Amino acid sequence: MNGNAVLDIRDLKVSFSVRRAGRKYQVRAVDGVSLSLAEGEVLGIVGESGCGKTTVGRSIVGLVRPDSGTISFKGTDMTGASLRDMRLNIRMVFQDPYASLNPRRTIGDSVAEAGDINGFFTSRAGRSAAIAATLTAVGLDPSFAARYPYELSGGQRQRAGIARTILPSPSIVIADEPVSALDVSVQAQVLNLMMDLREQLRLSMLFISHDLGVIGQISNRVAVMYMGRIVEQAATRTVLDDPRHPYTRSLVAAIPKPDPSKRILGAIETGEPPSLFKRPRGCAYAPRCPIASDRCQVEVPELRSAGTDGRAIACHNV
Amino acid sequence: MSRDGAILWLKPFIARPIALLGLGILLGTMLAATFAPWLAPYDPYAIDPSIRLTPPNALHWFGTDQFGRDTLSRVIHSARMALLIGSGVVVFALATGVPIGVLSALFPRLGHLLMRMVDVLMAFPSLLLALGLIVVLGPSVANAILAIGLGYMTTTTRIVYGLTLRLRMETYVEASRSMGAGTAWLIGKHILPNLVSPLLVQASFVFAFAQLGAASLDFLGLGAPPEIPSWGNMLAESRTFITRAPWLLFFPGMMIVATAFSLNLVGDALRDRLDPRFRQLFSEKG
Amino acid sequence: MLSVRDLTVSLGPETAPVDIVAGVSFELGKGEILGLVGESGCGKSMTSLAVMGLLPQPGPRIRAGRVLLEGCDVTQLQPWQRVEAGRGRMAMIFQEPMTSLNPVRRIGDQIAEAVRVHDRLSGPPAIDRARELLEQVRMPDPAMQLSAYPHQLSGGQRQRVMIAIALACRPQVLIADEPTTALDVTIQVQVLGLLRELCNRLDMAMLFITHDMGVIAQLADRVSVMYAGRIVETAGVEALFGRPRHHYTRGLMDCMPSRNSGARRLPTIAGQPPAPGTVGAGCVFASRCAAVRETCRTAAPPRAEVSRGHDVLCAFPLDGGEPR
Repeated sequence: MNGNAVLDIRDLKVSFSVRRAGRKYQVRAVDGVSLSLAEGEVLGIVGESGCGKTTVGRSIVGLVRPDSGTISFKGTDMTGASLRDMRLNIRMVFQDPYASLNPRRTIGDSVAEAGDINGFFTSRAGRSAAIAATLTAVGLDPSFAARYPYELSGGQRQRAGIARTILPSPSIVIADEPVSALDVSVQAQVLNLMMDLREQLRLSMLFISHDLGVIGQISNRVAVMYMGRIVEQAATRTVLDDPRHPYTRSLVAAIPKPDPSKRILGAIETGEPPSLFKRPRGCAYAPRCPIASDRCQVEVPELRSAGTDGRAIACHNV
Repeated sequence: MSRDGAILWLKPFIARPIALLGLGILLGTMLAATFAPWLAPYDPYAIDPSIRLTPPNALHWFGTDQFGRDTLSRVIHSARMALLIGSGVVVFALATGVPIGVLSALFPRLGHLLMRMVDVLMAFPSLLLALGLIVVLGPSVANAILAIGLGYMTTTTRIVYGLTLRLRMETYVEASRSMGAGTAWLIGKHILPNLVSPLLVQASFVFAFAQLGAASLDFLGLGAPPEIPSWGNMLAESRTFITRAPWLLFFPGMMIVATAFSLNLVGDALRDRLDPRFRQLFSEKG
Repeated sequence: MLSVRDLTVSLGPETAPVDIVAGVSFELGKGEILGLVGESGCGKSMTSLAVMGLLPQPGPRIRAGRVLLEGCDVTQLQPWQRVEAGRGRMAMIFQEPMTSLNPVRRIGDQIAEAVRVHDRLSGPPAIDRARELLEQVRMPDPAMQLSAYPHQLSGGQRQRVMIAIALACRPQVLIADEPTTALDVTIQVQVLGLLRELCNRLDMAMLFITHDMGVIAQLADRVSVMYAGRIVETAGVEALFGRPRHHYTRGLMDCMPSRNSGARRLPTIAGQPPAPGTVGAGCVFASRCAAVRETCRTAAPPRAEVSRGHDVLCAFPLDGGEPR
């Protein structure tokens, strides 16, 4: 276990029971994920739909019960426990700004909710002052506290959502695709805000996204997930400039670059991820992998260290 | 509620004039019920055999019945019974339906059990159910409210169950849970406030149908005691005199129809107010 | 092939119309891919619906302008009227294939339905043609998948089905409204490659609508940038990315967190787009433009051709002196 890790996850496994055509199936969404978040760091988790990244985030804030594994906050194991102080220290920003605020509550009430639930405020005046200060910190006028969500734009709602996450100020913020539903110009504003807040409040962040461009902008390190496992983990620049795992390479190559002279269409034919109901034996990426060998079909590769720069890869052939 | 909010509530009524008519009838009925002793020209219980069965005329706008009682006064006083039964049924349906529905949705195993019991109740036609209960409990106003209310409790429960199941999945509820909210907080701050609007619409419809249920029970002599004027009672008494004094049938019957009709109109208008497309005119979605 | 001239789509009463699309013009030649790019609310989807004849009734309507398909005016014709008039060779694909496909019918039947309308085939010949179309869109195992239901297919496969349905009428013009936005990036690249290949092979023109500049760079031959219902810049794709001339285009490109920017903070475009109906005289972008001048707020900007095939709706376009 990492010494100064503010969040440490070991071998997390989460599955869901799903009903299809009358039968119950157990779907393994997270299949043994281990990572640690150092204080003040932004760790990006990137992957496509179904890879389990959202489930990891939700397990950390207690929305989902893991099957096994441990989640430790500052050295204390909190798996399965719903300790109230943990709730204030680890908070989540949600993806959809149109769905994450109760339409019938004022912005102020929504922003102060964490404090209200956990008895943080000692007086009405104190509460109002805290709301006003937090709204200002996220770039919203304090008068917004009396408004309702339908009066705000998407970008403004997301700012309100962020305000809700930092009142009172937490240690860790789990950001689950916080800018994916926003326009590009608004994305930039909100990302800048998050970076500013991270500095001001000395936050540690777990930034979940499918967008490598955004991850590249905001995170220090990146973990790439596929079918419930981490396949590569390294410093952000390393992953983007020199991806080693075959999946990471296809992911990086598939990003549409805004440069017409670098066209990749048609050059990549990578098939589709298998259904979560029918996990392949062995490495989950083997069916699509250009360098798969016989060993890959039967043996799941473990995430092991590869090089001195903190890089880790889960592949037999790299 | 802000000024904009108040205007929003009136818009569906202004947009459809017939809804205003409904609102007018409803308000009229409530006025009649409240101020009956002052509005009614005569004492509804006063008997005067000398003027029995007179058709509508200048002195008695709605005519008189077989005992010489003024029909208009009786119609006005009946509004009290109508409102009493209506509100009683609505309160009963909400007070039972909401807790059962919400708890069933939040606690699935308990929920399955409760919803099956509700299903059993729903299998009975509501009037038969009411009749059965009255036979067991005995006719009285309170029992009428209970009997009719039980039927509407089932539909209310169903609606609340479905809504709560959906609300439970909303992102803002998840956000609340991630901050440590317990079930009580979720119910109080997120679920109930979002149930208010659909339940308001439901309440108006229940109110309307409760009138019909009450009138049916009264007609059969199983509801309000015959001395107390109610539209159903008046209808029952008018049976013998249909050919001779049709006004005795017409006026109470018209009031039953008008009240139920107006409540339906108001309910429709309220539902329009709550229609998400309506609200979208005021919201900014990308 | 497709010519849109001064298209204006409005909401609201005749006396006080609110323009959500204002004076949009573009041309699309055979086999060409025109990218229509803009952020949400800029009117690009509404433009595509208007061109296709699919504006929801009642509601927005074409107040002015013309849509010409192969020289014939189809502006006021709905799709079925166009088919009857022999001008129905324009097809559209949408963003969410799950809602565009009927969940209770097999996809083979859904494709065959399109075939029946356009080729007047039915029964086995229609199914054959459906299978042929699935092959054209590179669906793995086409014969088997004919009997699949939409929920049994993945997002990328459903999108291929939708393209197959669109191809049933042998379209001269394909309108694609954000077809890959909901897809994973590795699937997106395959579907985009398919679309490019189909346009080349079938000499089909495509109007591709998106908010993603990266996708545009990969796919389009020419690009039109939309803002607040107006086209602010049109250029060949290399010219647009190499030397953007409109301030909004430049701002949009600058604030993308592209892989190569290592900057601490992203440049942004201050403010928000104007709501439809609140646009006054003068340039729509004036309130947010970094290089705004007094005249921009009062006088409507001219459409200037800054070089061959490159025009800008701006009184003071960027001089294009800094190649990127």
